[in-house]
Amino acid sequence: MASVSYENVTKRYSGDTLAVDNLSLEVKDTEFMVLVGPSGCGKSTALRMLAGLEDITEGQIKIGDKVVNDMPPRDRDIAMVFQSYALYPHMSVYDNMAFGLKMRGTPRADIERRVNTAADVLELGPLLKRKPRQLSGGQRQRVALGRAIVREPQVFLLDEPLSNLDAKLRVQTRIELQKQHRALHATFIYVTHDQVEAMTMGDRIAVMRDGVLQQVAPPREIYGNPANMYVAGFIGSPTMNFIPVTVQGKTAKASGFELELPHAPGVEKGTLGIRPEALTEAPVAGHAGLDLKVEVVEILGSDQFLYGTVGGDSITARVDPHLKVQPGDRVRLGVDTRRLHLFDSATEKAVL
Amino acid sequence: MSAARLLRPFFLLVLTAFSLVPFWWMLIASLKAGDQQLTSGNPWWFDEVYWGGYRDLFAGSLFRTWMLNTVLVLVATVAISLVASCLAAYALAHLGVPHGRSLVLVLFATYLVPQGVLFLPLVRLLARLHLLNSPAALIVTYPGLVIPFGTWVLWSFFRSLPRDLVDLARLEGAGPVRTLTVVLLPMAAPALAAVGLFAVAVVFNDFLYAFTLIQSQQDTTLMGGVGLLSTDLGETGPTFAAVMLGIVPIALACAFFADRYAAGLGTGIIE
Repeated sequence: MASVSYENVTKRYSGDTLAVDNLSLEVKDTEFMVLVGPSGCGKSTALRMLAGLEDITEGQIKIGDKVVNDMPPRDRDIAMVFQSYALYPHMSVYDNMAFGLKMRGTPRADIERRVNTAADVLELGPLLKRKPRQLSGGQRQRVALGRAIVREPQVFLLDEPLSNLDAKLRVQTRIELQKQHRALHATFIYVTHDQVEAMTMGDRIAVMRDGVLQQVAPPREIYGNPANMYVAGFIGSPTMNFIPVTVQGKTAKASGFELELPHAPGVEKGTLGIRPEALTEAPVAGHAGLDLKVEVVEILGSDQFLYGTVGGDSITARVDPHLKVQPGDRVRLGVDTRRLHLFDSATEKAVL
Repeated sequence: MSAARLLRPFFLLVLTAFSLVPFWWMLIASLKAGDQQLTSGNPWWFDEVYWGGYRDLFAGSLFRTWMLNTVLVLVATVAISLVASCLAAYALAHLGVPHGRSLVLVLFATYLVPQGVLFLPLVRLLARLHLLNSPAALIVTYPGLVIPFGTWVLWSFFRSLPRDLVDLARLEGAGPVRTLTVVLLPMAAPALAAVGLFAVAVVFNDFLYAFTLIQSQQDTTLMGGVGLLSTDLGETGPTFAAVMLGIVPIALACAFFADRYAAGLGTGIIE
C-alpha cells in the first residue's frame, strides 16, 4: 500500500492554458481522498497526471517514495475506473476484467483465480460470459470496479465513477464503494463534481477551482470552517447565504438587519456567510433577528426551505417542516451567531 | 402526410426501375446473336437466348487471365489500403501527431486535385520504376486513391470512440500495436467495411489507369480488357458478356455490405 504526494505540480497545455497550478497535496496510505470542483477545475487533470496519461509540466508526483514523473503508466501500480467505464464492447465481462492481467503476462491460472474472486465479491459470477451491452448500468459500473480490483493495485483512481448511474443506484453504489475501500485497504483517489459524493465518501476532501487547490480537510471541517467564500458556496445544499455587510468593531450591518459578531474581525467590508440551517424560526435571545419576506416555500418532508428577502438581500432558511408558511408571509428568523462566517471582500478569505 | 406515405413505395419502385434499366438492357444485349444487338429487334427482350457472346469471350480472349489479374489487383489494393489507412488513422487520432487534424484535412483535400493533373507525373514515375505494363502499376496506384478516404473514415471512427478505451489500454500496459489490434480494430468492423467497399469500387470503376498504364493484353485487368475487346474483336457480344460478368462481384459486394458501408460512413458524420 502507498501514499501519494503532489509536490508543486503544474500542468500547462500548449499555449498558456493552466490546468493545474502549483498543486501540493499529500494523500495518506489507505486514505479515501476526494478531489472535488466544477468541470474544468483541474481535478481530472490532476488524476490523469498521477495515472501517467498526462505529462507533468512542473513539479513531481510520488507514489510511495518513488517519483513517478517519467514512469510509464503500467509500472505505477495503479488502477483506474473511468466515468464511461471504458468496457470493451467486443469482449466478455471475464475478458474485460482479465484484460490488464493478460497485458502484463500474468499466468492463466492466476488470472482465472483473481477474476473469479473479484466476481464473487461484486456478485458478477453469473454475468462473466456476457458482453457489456447485455448489462445494466449498475452492472457495468461493477465490472469496471472489478477490473481495477483484480489488478490488486496500491492506489485506485476513480474518475466520476457514479455520474452515469441514476440517483437511487448512485446512493447504493456510494455505500458499496466505501465498503470496498475498507475491505481492500488501498488508497483511493476519487474525482467528482458532486459535493454530496465528496461529503459522504471522503476521509478528506480537496476542493479545487481553476486549477488551484482551495482547501483540504475532512468533510466536517470543510463544511464547518470553509477557508474561503468559494469553498463555502460550493459545499452545502441549498448553498450558504452570502450577504454584503459593512463592519464596525463587532457589529456587521447589512441592508436589512444588524448582527453582533462574536469578535471583531478586523475588516471594514465583508460578506457575511450564513448556512440555511443556522437560521431558526425561533428568535434567539440577544438580537433582533431577521425579518424574512417569504417568496417561495419548498417542503421536502424532512426539511422545509424558505426563500425570500431581508432588506435587499436574498436569503434561504431551513425551518421546521411543520411550520405553516405561505408565500408572502413575513417570518422573524433568529441567527445562531456561533455559526456565522465572514469573508474579506477583497481576498474572499474567511476572517471569522 | 398520409399522401406522402402512400406515394413512397411507388416513388421507390420508379427509382429502382430507373437504376435497373441499364443492367437489364446489357443483360439482353449480352444474350443476343452478334448481328442483332444494337441494330434490330426489341432492345428490351430477346427472341431466343444466345450464349455465343459468353462462349466467344472464354474461347477467344484472355478473359480468365484478366479476371485473375483483377483479383490480384483487388486483393492487394484492399489489403494495402486497409493496413495503411488503419496505421495512419490510429497515429493521427491517438498518438499525438502534431497538427493531426489539419493533416487529415490536407489528405482529404487531395481529392480536389483533378486526376488528369496527376496523370503524366504518375506515368513517368511508374516508367522509371519499371512498373508499367504490369499489374503492379495498378497495385501502387489504386491505394493512392483509397488511402486518403480510408484514413479520414477510420480517423473519424477512432475519434468517435470514448478516449477512455484507449487510455485504459495504455494504463494496462498495451503498447500502440496491441492497442490497435486487440482494442480498436475489433470495434472498427463497420468502418473497415466502408473502406474496403470503397477500395472495391475504386478498382472496378477505373478504366483510365487500367487502360493506359498497361498496354499488354496478358497483364491488364478486366476493366482494361473490356476496352481491348471492344476494339479488337469487332463484335459486341463478348464485350457485353464481359461487362456483365465484371459487374457481378461488385454488385454482390454492394448487396452484402451496403448497410455496413452506410454505418461506417455514419461514424464519420458524427464528427
